[in-house]
Amino acid sequence: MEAIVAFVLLSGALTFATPLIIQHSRLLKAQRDYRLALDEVSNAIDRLSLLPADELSGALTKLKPSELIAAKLPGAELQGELDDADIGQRLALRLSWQQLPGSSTSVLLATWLPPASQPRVEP
Amino acid sequence: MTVALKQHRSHRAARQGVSLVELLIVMSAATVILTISAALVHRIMLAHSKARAFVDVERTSLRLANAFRSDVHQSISATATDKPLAGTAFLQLELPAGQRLEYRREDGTISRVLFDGERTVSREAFSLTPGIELAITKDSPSLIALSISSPPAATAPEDRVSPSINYAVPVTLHVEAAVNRDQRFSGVRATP
Repeated sequence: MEAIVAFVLLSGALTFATPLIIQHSRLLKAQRDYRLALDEVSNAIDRLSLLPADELSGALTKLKPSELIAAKLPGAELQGELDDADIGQRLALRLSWQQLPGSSTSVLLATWLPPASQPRVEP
Repeated sequence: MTVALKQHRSHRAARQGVSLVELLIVMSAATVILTISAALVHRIMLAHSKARAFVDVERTSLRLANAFRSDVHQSISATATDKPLAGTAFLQLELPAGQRLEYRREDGTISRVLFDGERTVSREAFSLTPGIELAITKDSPSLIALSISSPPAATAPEDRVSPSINYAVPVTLHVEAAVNRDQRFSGVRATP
């Protein structure tokens, strides 16, 4: 009788723990995906910030994720938006991907660039 | 009536112990439960160790990416070395006010050393997985790219170098940063 009770308790613990372990592993993967997405958007912002102002709009239409991100994040899409701001131009990039089938996640970063009349600072 | 009572008492007296078969059944059941419990505890401890190693690598990668990007942004010039020797700098950054930053690699650890003239001001270590592959490139004069990745996992048993590398968490890091980006508004005049 005691053995049966112990077995039932153990089975219950296993049933309770298994979804938690799976959820935890998904959480770790989501953490890595988020960091990769954050780096990708930051990299794209740095590349775009080096372009002359008149090439920015054209470059935004050709934006696409790198091969690394395309391989790591399923359904990754990179979109950019350029707006005029009081201190120059506001560049916003959004990277979206499928975290789980049917659920989309995105990272949005924005930066401010000097106005078009201001030449880019070279090292 | 008296005989039946005596038989019942003698039967109860005989059932005060357990038979060998019952004992064996209980011991077998307990053994099965203990085996399952031990396997469960082992798997949980393994998962805990892997999760901790994973979080450590991720946290270090994030810290390194932030430090690298910030340093390159505030630097005024950068010198990259394609294939540095162990312990030597693979990236040198000139900072304003005469300071200098060096990024060095020693196996699985990347060090960030800040100099003021010849004096070492600070040193920071980023411990990643042993056996990482590191590449530093200059895609353009102003764009520095740092890539860190783990070698492909060994498939054949003879390819296994050491248990620590087999257990290692894979590292994936790619950071591109523009030199002197922090100064992009330096020439902009404030409008009244």
